[in-house]
This record gives sequence, structure tokens and C-alpha cells, in this order.
Amino acid sequence: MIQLPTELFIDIFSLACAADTYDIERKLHLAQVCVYWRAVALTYPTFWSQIRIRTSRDATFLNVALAHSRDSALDIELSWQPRRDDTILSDAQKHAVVEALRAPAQRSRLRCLCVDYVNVPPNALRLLLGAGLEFPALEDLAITGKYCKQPFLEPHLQAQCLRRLSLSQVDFTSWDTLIASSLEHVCLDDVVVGESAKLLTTILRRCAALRHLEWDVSSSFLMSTSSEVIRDALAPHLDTLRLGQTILAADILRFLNHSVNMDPIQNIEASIYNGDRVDDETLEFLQEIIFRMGRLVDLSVEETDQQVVLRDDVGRIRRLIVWNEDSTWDIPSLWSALSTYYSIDTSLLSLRMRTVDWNGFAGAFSKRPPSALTEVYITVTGDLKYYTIDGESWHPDAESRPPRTLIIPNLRRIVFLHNADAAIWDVSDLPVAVRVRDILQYVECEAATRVEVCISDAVRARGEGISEHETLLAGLSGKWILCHHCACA
Amino acid sequence: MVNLVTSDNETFTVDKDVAERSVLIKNMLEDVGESDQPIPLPNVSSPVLKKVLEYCEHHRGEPLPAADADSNQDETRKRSTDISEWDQKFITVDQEMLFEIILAANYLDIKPLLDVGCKTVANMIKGKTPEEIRKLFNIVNDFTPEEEAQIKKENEWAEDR
Repeated sequence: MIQLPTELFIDIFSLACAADTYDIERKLHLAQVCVYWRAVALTYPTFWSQIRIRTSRDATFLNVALAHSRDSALDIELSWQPRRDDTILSDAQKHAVVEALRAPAQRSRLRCLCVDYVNVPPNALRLLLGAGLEFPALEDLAITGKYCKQPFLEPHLQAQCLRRLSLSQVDFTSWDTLIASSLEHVCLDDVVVGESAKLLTTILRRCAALRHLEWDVSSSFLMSTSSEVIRDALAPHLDTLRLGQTILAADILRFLNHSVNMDPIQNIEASIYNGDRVDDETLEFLQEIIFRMGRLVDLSVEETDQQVVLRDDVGRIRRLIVWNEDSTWDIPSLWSALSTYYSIDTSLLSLRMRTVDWNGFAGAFSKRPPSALTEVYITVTGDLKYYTIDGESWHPDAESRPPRTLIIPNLRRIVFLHNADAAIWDVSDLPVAVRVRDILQYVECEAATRVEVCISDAVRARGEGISEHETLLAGLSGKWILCHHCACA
Repeated sequence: MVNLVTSDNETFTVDKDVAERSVLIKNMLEDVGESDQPIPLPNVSSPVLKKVLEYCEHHRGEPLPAADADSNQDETRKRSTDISEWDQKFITVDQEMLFEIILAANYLDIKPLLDVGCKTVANMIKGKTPEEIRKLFNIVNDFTPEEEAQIKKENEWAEDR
């Protein structure tokens, strides 16, 4: 065999282990082929620095991997959720693993630690995470405790460089030492803590570099607008806020909007249970999530159909998620509320919708037409018939009512998009050209204007080709013209 | 056109844009400016250069990877060993040629070809035991008894099973 330079060999080794970079046994195999291969593997300590301990077998390789990784930063996964084919670690082995990692030589170079466990947290974990130990290099800590209720893990550690903290399905009462001032990314998913309002305030107050916060903390949130306003500027770099499904988003948003001194956040994602009707709770939700936004210029119904996205004229984004029984927003009610309270009917410039939303938007626009809307993107998901749900299937309305007309007075451009989620929504096998012609018959705009039609995306994805669509607009109103790109294709 | 001269003194005349898939050749051409001088490639034999040029010809016109393309990758974590269909057929050669192509791609600085070669070897050794790898590449087990003992210790648990 021709000998390759060591840097090429280590590249090959890394690629051979790329599917699972935490599998130590696979790496050991490469280091046991011959003297040269071993020398190459041992020359690169970072090759050994990602270690997962899931099984008894993994545990036996830990000390070898720690030795081979020398002084490089360590990324450790303690995956202690038993799987069917695993040989489960005994308590003694778990303690041995923790003892090895607690040693100052290892703890001082631990950069990333991911821990997951089921039911009660192993006592060994408390020795690692609950003993007030210092982790001077730890940047990333993730703890997942599936179905774990009491006894709590009660983390207590010192990690001055911690940048990312992710806690999932963990209950605990003490959290103070976890909230390092260096945190940039905090994800609390399905977490139960004591004093959740205090936790949120502490995060915002202490973490000046915070950019991303995911908050799904199950606990009553007691703060209200009557609470004293915190005057200090909090979390000035917070860019993204995601609020989980199990909390009342309006409560948290009200607190952020009125009780603390914060600039408007660029991206907010929040859920509400209602949405099939716009009731007082929904209006309150809208009021808080749209608080201090500029003119609403962009509205998008996502293909997952549960989400509506609003963007304002300075690029702030609000993702509104509904999870009622149908998991769909009632478009006419939502449009009406957004028009009445936020004047979206006069500010909207761009709309992204699906053909299955057609009658919702048509009904909404018939009462409050979007006077500034010039550009519409339509994902071709189905035809324009009314559909009703029977069980889990969609069926055309038995009364076969014709589609409504979509009124967009100042429309200038209409773009048809391919439906990437065709398996779920595409209820028609008709070619795009036929469907586009059908759709255009039900669009009403000022007769004097010319409207550009773009079908490139919709036809290309279905392999139909634009050349077959030269006569696409024949026989339709003269206001429709193919866009330059489609016409030249 | 560019003239390339191999270690066994064979000359290949190729389009400039094909030759410039090699960063080494591209830099040499930029350094010497307009010239008919042949470019010597003392580390590449003619059968290997023929294969390399076949690759360059097929991929001519494609965007070249940025010089720091790999530095954005989080070390080894996100790398894939997928190889396109054409590249797979191209690299289906005997082992000696495979390693010669890797060495040539490294010397000529043709990053995409080097990737294809390294991924191919990685796919060959993936999931194999040390003994299977030795057989595959005809590698002699040259560990000393002391080293063997050390390796045995590393594998102690597995051997006990």
C-alpha cells in the first residue's frame, strides 16, 4: 500500500468516522492496524476528543480516549437512556465514568457536555453536576431528563465560559449557578422550575450577550403590567425569542413589553391554542406579539398550515403558531383583526398563500381589500374548491359552490410556487398550466394595470417545462402577461 | 492551451480552463504570464495525469471551492462521505491508482478530486476491523510485542466477551 502523508490519512480517518464521530471503538480499530496508522491516529489528539458513553463497552474505552486526546478540548456525551440493544451501564460504571471526568485534568478541558437520562437522574450525575465543581472551559451544556420528575437533579456548578445552555424535560428548583453571564443561547424546553419569573428576569438581567432564548417553562407566570418596571437595559442583543406551547405566551410577552426595558426583538415565535376564532384571548395575544412593530408589509401562510408569519417594514418577524383542533388559523377573522387593529389592509405589500387558503383570503379581502398589496406568491397545493374535513380526509364541499373571487386592487405580480409538501396537500393531478388558468379567472384587480405572471418555480419542480405553457394565457384577460423570465425560458 | 510534462516525460496539451482546475498549475501560469513553456510535473506519471485530466475535463466550468472551504466545517462533525455517481465510476480503479490519484490531487492542489479519493478510501475502511483492513490493503501487522500488549489492553473488555 502506498503511504499517504499523515494529514491526508487523518482526513481519511475522520471521514471514515464521520457518521458517528463519538464512536471511540471505531477509532480504536483504525489505530490498531499497523504502526504507521497508529502513529497517525495518535498524532492528532482532536481525533479522540469527542467521546460518547452509552454502553458498558463505551465505558471501557473512556480512559483510552481521554489519554489519546491528551490536552485537547473535550466534547462528551453521557447518553444514559437505555436502548434495547445496549448493555446498560451499571451504577458502578457510571460512577467510574463520572470520577474520570471529575478529575481536574479532564474537567478543565471539558468544552461540551451533553447528558441525557430517563426517570430519576443517576446519582453519579449529581457528583458531576451538583457538587459545585468548576468547569473553566465548558461552553455548551445540554441536559435532557426524559420523564424525570423527582428527585430533582439540582445542578450546581461553576462554568464561567458557558455560552449555550439547553435543558429539556428537567424539573429542578435551584438554577442560579447555571445562569452564567456569558450565556448567548438558552433553550428551556418543557422544563419545570421554581420561581420561573425570577429565572426569566435573571437570564435577561445577567446575560448581556444573550442572542437566542427558547422558553417553555411550565409554571405560573405571576408578573403583570402592574409589576415594577425594571429600568436597566436588559439583554440588548436578544435577537430571537421562541415561546413554547405549554405556556401562555401573552403573559410572557406582556412582561417583556411593559415591565422591562428592552428594544423590540427581531424574531419572535409564539403559540396560542385558539385561532379558529379570534376571541379576546387571541386579540390579547396579537396585541402583545405585534407590540412596537412597524407597518406590517408581509404576510405568509406557511406550508405547514399551522403558522402565519408577519414581517414589518424594518424586517422584524413574528411567527404565530396555532394548535387548536384543526391546527389552522381562521384567515378571515385574522385578516379582519389585523386590519382593524393594525391596518394591515393598507400596509401589506406582499402575500404568500396557498391555493387551499383561497376562499379564506377571498372572503376576507371582499370586505377589507388589501389596497397596497402588489405581489402575491401562491403555492399550488390544490384547486380552488371548498374543502371540508371528514375524519382525516379532505373532500370537496358537497354543495360544489364555485370559488370566490380574490380582490387585490393594485396587484402587479403573481408568482406560482411549487408545493414542496405535495404528499399532504396536493389533491389535484392537473398540470400546472391548467390550474394557473383556473386560478387567474378568480383574481380581480384594476383593469387598467398589467399583471406579471411567473410560473417558473411551479412548472420546473413538476418537470413540466415552460415551453409547454406558451399558450398559458391565451383567451384570458389581456391584463395577464408572462414575466420576462418565463417568456424567455 | 497548456503543455504539461509528466515524470515519465510525456506531454499533455490541454485547455487552460481544464489545467487551471489545479490550483498549483493556475498559480504557475499566473506567475509566468503568457508563455508557451511546458509545465513540468515531476511528481505525476502519465497514466495518473491522464486520469486526473479526465476528472478536470468533466468538471471544467464548475465553481472552484473557496480556499477556506473546510475551515467553516465544525471539524469532522458535519462531513459526509457521499460521492456523486460520475465521480464514483471515475474513481473505480485499482488500489494503486486510487492512491496515486490522491497523491496527485494533493500535489496539484485539486481539492474536489482529493475529496473524492479520500472519501473512497474512507468508505472502504468504514466499519471494518483492523484485521479486515490489513487484508483489504495488504498491510503487514508490524506491531512489537509490547505494542500488541498495549492494544490487547485497549480491547480487554471486548476480548473478554
